[in-house]
Formats: sequence, structure tokens, C-alpha cells
Amino acid sequence: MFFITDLLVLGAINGIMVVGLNLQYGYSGLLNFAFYTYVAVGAYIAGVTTLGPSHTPGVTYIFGANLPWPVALLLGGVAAAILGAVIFSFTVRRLRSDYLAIVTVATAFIFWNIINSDVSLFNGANGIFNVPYITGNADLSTEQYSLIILALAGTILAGCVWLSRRIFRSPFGRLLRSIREDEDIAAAFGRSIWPSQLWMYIVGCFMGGLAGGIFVFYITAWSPSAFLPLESFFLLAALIIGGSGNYWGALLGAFIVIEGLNELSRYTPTFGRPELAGSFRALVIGVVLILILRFRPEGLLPERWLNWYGRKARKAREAAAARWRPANWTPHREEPSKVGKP
Amino acid sequence: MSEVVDIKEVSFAYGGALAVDKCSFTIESGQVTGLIGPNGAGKSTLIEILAGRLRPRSGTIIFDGIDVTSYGPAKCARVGIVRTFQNARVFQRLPVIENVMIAARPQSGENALQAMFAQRRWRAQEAALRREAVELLEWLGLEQHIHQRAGTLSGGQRRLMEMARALMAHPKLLLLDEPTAGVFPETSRLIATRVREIAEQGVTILLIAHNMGFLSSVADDVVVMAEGKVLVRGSLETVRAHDEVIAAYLGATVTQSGEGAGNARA
Repeated sequence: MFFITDLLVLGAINGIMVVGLNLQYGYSGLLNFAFYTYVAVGAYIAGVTTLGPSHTPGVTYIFGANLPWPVALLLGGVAAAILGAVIFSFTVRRLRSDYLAIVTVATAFIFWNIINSDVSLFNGANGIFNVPYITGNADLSTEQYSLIILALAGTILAGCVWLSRRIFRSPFGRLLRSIREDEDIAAAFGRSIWPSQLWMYIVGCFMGGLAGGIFVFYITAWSPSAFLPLESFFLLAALIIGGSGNYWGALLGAFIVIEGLNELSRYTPTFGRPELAGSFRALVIGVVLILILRFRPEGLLPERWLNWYGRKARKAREAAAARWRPANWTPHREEPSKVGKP
Repeated sequence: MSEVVDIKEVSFAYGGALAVDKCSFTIESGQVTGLIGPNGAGKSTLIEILAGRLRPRSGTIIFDGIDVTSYGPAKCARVGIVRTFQNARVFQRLPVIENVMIAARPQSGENALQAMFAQRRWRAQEAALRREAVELLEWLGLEQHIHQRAGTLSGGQRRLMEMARALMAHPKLLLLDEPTAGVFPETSRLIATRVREIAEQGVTILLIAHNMGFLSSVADDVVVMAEGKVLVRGSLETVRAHDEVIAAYLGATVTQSGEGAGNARA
């Protein structure tokens, strides 16, 4: 039973991350390989603001405080969003596509190395641990606690999906899609490009920070080994496999890919050195990604399935298709064409 | 008739190659002005300059009393200069109707916060825009393709959709870069009718075209460009009879003293 709740919690937390990444990559076309950095920032901030000041010798971190957990969670999200805004103004505003991807990879490595080696920031490579349960001192079994976290993560995930849906269906979502498709045309119709992208970058990072906060409340510890730069690739792979641009696709990808990754090692035979298991997971994801890109390039749930106009539009389209006659091909309404008539 | 656009001594060079060379002319309000000339005459470059995509090396452009010389594409669009592209560019993965609706401005629902948390403020506008977009698409004969993805449209349909998109922006000056290139004659006739109708509503139009039949049916006035300069301007008939135009089109060098080197090479 605990096994299933654990899977669901991880799925929901990763779901929040991938839905957030979908706002950046799927909606706005901003390739972000540093997404897990924002998750980590959210986790660290939420962790240190609930841990209280450090009493253990040799454990140092900033902002040691005993804030209530909702505040800490929110602070984690806000910190990630602010970091996102700062990084956006330095990189995303000036770079496009491949160059942006390179810079975000570099960002991820830089932050990982800073946090890993600077002990005064978040206790370096050892990381923070013993983050208190959000239920305080209540006597709960691990399973009961995971159910509580599941409820929290599920609620926030539902909120994120709801927000994604709102954005997708709004003129703002349309503007983002158009910028993603072709910036030149969007500019030729009077749109400024980066402010709308900045919004999505911030909201995406905020969701990442929230996910990190919930994650740290769940596993009660966080260290650099938890957010290796490779993790962002897994999130992106999940998004592309699920269907980028489609929030349901993002959710599906998160559950299939991340859960699959976690559970894969259970079924693979152990061979060679134990570290091989990790590489094997990456290998499998790579193969799946290639197959998806080859045979279903828009992902399992393509964006076009989210028809803005819903069922009504589909009916209208079908009606139009039914009305269509071969003789009706000319767009010239006033003078029907003489072609094909004696 | 008042002047809407006043192009004064505008020059532009790609690297070292001078594409537009001290080009000056004016466009009258509500007129359809055709821009013709051989390949490489600088017509498309001039359109790009007017639309703000390229910044001229020298000269000024006055539009509606405003100096728009240094304006970027977004700013130009905001003062009412709207263009179509030489090879019809569409948002490939978006439905035709979204392609068209995107052009309308301003849309309060494009504010991120309003989009997320204040749907009531933009719902009515959105419905009105959708109606307008559908009407425009019907007017241009695309009613069967409203929900189709724009990437699946044919070349001619893309041109029509581009026109619908441009009109959705309520332009004061409409720049049409070869609206009939590669278009089926029937469709091209429809485009001509529509261009005339748009002009009658008071929109000033500058269009590039190579098809003289099309030009004669739409253009009030023709500007001929060659090698980055304005060669001659007038009605299509006077322009057609002009010696230099014939020379430019047929490729013969206008013989003048001191151009021996050019002649020798030819």
C-alpha cells in the first residue's frame, strides 16, 4: 500500500514540475535544461526556512528559521521565480533555440557546483536533512504521512493544471503559441516578444519551486546528489514523450517516464558495477525518446487534441466537411466557376 | 488627397551591396500603389524598411505625420503599418482562425494576469473577435478551412489567410508583398477584387506585383524601381510606354556617355 502512495506522491510532485516546464517549453518554446535547478532552489529554501537555526556542529546553512510550512513552501516557489526572472533577463531575453539550450545547461552546472562546494550556503555536498514533517509532532506512520503529502501535492498539481488550462485557452496562450511558432510574424503584428515569455518563465519556475518544496517535506532531506543536472533532461524527456504543449500530455509523461525510471531498476537484472543501473536508466529514456520522435513526434497526447473550440468546433468542422462538394472548390463566390460545366 | 507615407532619400545596403539607393516617393491616402521592377530592384527591401524590419542607412520615412524611420516592426504595427510576407508565412501548427485572431490589437486577454484570473474581462471581446475573424475568412473564401491547421493550407490559401490576418489588424497602411505570386488565376482575381474593396474603405495599400493584368485591375498608380532607385511613377499606361522602364525590364543598358565599361562587359 505504501508502495502505491509513494508512487503517486512522486508522480504528483514530478507532475507539477513537468506541467511547469510545459509552460516554458510547450507553450513558449523556451528550451530550459536548468529546470531542476529551480526545483532545487525551492526545495532548499523551503527546507532551511522550516529547519530552524543550525545547532549541529559542522552543519551550516543560510536563513535558518522556524516558519510555518505553507509560508516556507511559498517562499521556495517565490525564490525559484525570482531566480528565474534574473536568469531570464540575462540569458533568455538575448538568446534563441540552440544557444539558449547551451546556456541553460551551463547554468544548471554552475548552480550545482556552487551549492555543492559552498558549505555556508546549503551545507555543501552533505546537504540539509531532518527537515520536520509538515504535521509537526503528531504521531504518524510513514504511510499516513505520505497520504497527507499526496493530498497536498495532488491539490497543488490540480491547481497547476487548472492554471495551464486557463492560460492555454486565453488570448495570452494564443499569443505565446504564435511567438513560439514564428516571432517575426508576432512582431509584425505589434507584439513585444519577451514580456510574455518572461511571465511564463516565472510561473513555470514558481511551479518548479513549489514541487521542490513539497519534495523536501516528503523526503525530509535534500542534497546536491538529488538534483544532478541530468534530472532536467528526464523532465524534458517526460514532456516530449507525453506531448509538449498539452498539459494532460505533460502529466501523462511525468507519470509514465518518471515512474518508469524509478521502477525500472526493480526489473532490470544487476550486472557489472552497481553504478551501471543509473546509466542504464538514461539509456532506456534515450531509446524511448528517439522512438517517440520518430513515430509520434508530437508526443502521446499532441497539443492539437486540446482544441480551443472544443466539441462545438469539431461539430462545425464536420458539418463543413459534409457540406463540401467537389464543384464547390472555387473561392470566388460572386461568379461561380465555369470550369467543368458544358 | 493627403500624403500618408513620405519616403525621403531612403538608402539601404546589405553589407556592401546597395539595395535601395536614395529612393524617394510619396503614397496618397486611400490609393493602391503598385511597386514594380525587375528582380533585385529593392522592392522587397523597401517593404521591409517600411514595416520596420530593416532600418535604413539614411533618409527618413514619415507615416501619418510621425517619423517612423527608427521604429521596429512591433512599433510600426502599432501605428497602423501592417504587412504580408513575400513567401506567405503562417503559424503552421495553429488553426487558421487563431492565425487570424492573433492579429487583432489590443486584446485585454493578452495580459498574463487577466488571462489567468479575469476571464470575464475579455470573454466578450474574444467572442467579437472570433465573429470578425470568421466573417473575414468567409469574405476571402476560406470558410471551409477555419479550423484547419494553417500548415496544411495550399499556397494560394495561405495568401488569402495572410490578407485576412492583415485586415484583422485594422491597418492604415497595408503592405502586400507579391500577394499573387504562385496563385491560381481564379484566386488572383478574387484577391484583386478584395484589394479594391479594401482600398475603398480608406486603407492605403502599397503592393508589389509582377503580373501586369493584376496590376491594371487594382493599382491607381505605379512606381517603377530599378537598381534601388525610383525610375518613374505614374499610371500603368504611362509607365508601360516609358523608355527607361522598357529598358530596365528587357535588360538593355541605358546607353549614356561614360558607361563604356558596362557596355563592354555586357
